Amino acid sequence: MNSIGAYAGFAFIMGLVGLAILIVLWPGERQGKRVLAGWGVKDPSHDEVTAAVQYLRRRRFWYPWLYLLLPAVPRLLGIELPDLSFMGTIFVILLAGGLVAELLAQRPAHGPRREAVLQTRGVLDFVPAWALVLGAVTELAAVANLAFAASWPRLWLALVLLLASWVIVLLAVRRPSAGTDRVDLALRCRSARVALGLGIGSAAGLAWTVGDFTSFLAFAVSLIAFSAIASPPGKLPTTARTA
Amino acid sequence: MPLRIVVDTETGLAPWRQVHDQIVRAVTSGTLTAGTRLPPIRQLARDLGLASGTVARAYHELELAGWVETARAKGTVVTAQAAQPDRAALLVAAATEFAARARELGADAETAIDALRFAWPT
Repeated sequence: MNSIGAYAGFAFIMGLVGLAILIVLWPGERQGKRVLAGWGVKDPSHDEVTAAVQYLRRRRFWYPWLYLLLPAVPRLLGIELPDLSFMGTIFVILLAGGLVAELLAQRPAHGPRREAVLQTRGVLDFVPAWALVLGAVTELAAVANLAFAASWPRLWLALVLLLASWVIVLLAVRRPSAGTDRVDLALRCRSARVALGLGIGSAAGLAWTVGDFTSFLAFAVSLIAFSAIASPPGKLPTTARTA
Repeated sequence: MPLRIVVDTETGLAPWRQVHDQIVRAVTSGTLTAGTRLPPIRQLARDLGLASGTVARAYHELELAGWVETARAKGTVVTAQAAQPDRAALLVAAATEFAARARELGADAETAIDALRFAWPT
């Protein structure tokens, strides 16, 4: 009886913590405009801002619950994971939240009136080739470093996180269109590039050995790559969709 | 600006026909030029919330009429021949649209033809 009460109390407190985080993170019109401006949509209409806010809410809704639930998953599965830094934990949560949101966004259009853009879509429409190459090189370096160091738990975790980031990139390309052409393009770019950047950052964080200068250098280069890829470019990519 | 395809499942016109007609109109109006690549069937079907077979039928009919051609490497592209307007096909597309609108208004074929005669410039 006592243990049930203690568990209920713990769940209640955790629920309150989750709710508090959610209230702090919950985006409004201002955040929607800022995201659109950062990804190249200038002077957005009210509908465009609404689409951006909805996009942000569909991601941020999951963060507090993932923060509370994710640590329990390895324990339930009986897997021992390496200790993560605070930033590492945040990266894992952002990736997991992005993955859940992109999976849910795959739901087909419903309602009697549906729209689609008559244009092919590919990863290169949303992520530039240099970012893909830079991402692949830094990720391979991190994985190779972990493999040479025989740091198997860290290597497996890095591989899982990298897989999640690439799956998000593919899902961002695959999901049905939403909003105007330029908002759709901007938000797909954001999803794909931020996921790629988070993958690089996660792998670099796991591969970094404190006290080793070469490892630190690789970590610093990876962080620069992360920043270059995931930072809002301030303009829409030049694709056929914006031509 | 990329072309948008709109499908309304409540118009009474089959979705494959709506996709077909809008592509034909885009080709004949010059919005889609020869060599333009259409999206893969699965992508368009997913975006429109339709079964792949529905979009496949639209593409198949377009191919039969010579509007597009499908090659393994290039996918489905608008043909050069399609760039020259086919008046007969245009007339069929316009008539199909008119018939759908007439059905929406509850008219039978005779009433629709009478309305057409009435509207015909003499």
